[in-house]
Amino acid sequence: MDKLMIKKQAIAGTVESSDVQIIIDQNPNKGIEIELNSSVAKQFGRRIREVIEETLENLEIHDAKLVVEDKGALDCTIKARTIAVVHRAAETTKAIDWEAIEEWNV
Amino acid sequence: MDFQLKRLWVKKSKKDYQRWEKLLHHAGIRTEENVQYTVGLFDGEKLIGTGSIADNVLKCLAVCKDYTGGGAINQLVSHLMNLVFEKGETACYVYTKPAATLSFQHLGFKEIARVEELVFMEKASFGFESYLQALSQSVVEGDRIAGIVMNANPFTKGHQYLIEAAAKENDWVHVFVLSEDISVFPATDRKNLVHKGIQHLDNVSIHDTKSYLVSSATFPSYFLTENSDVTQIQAKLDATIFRDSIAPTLNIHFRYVGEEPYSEATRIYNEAMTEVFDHHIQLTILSRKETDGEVISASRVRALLAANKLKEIKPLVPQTTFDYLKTQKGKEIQLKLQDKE
Repeated sequence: MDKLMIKKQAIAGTVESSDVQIIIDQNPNKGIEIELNSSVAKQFGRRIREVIEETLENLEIHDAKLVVEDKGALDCTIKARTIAVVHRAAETTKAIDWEAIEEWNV
Repeated sequence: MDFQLKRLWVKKSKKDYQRWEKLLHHAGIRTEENVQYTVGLFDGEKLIGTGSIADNVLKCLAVCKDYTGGGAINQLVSHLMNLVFEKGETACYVYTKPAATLSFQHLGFKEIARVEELVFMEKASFGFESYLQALSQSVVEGDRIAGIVMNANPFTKGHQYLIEAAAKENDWVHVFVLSEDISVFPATDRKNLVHKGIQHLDNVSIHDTKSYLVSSATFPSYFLTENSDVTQIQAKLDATIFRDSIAPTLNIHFRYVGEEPYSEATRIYNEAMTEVFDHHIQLTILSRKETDGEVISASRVRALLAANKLKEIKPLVPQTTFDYLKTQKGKEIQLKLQDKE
């Protein structure tokens, strides 16, 4: 499987209740930068960042700018939206390596 | 509660148009011709919300009073935002009333500027802040710093004269060339020709405008005919963005524009700038450079190009622009212009 590369800006998710909307873009050599807005930022802000960062780490994305609008999404939703947005930005939605995802997504 | 999203064919279906118009009027919003896509939000058979897209701008958004405060607006805006970004746009804009800004902030929009009853907001990964930050890399120290905004479609001796005049009177001149690709001459070529045409000046730098000056987002009526009230408020908004954000970033206190005897939109724009800039920025309107009793303008160059009168263009443009018009690319643009006629 080729390494995933953020080629363009992409979006996943919605701003409806219990969902999260993530916009991702390139951020060459500047690491992972997350701009988070959440209705539950005080209680879960740190956890939301953690889930996103872990998922990006698993997908081997080390440079990206993300704008995250959280409406109280559960971890599994955040993870799913992160996986989706990365594949859209990498233009690899037709060839998702489910086996690899299965490896770390337990 | 879940509502259904369904496309409204406001240009083709009379029924759709009528219920769309009714909902908007109830919300005190006028219908708009310049929309490419309109969606309706339904509770069963009842139309309870609507929103439209024009390029990267969300327009004509309204939710029926009984359904505000719930998920209706979020469902509607989510759908529209996803469409905009899936089209490959890198930012999404919305015009709204001061009372509704909070709702949009909750959806991740940030305020860029406001005039009177209009607030202009943006959602992007690299938005207005990033643009200003990039601009701040080009700060030049000086007592008199000027700014000029131009489309340069294409770059003429008129543009050159305006820049030369500003360069003579100021320590530094920041020239902004419109970034959007909605003019016949492509943005990169327009910028390139400005660059080539000012090689003899050593106190001028060139910048992009992205979507923030005279763009289809800030100032759609500059490109599409609108009634003058609308044009006026958009012009004021554009001038406000320049006054409050762009000019302070680069220490600009002077702005130069060419007098515009023919275009109504430009006339309104110049008026709006005078009013908005007030004592913050001094506006200088230079009368147009003339050759043989006729003013030089880019629109005249385009008309002559369409009529294949290259000889008559020669005295109107710098050599560098003239050379470009004779290239393969220039000929393609000439064909495009001829098709339009």
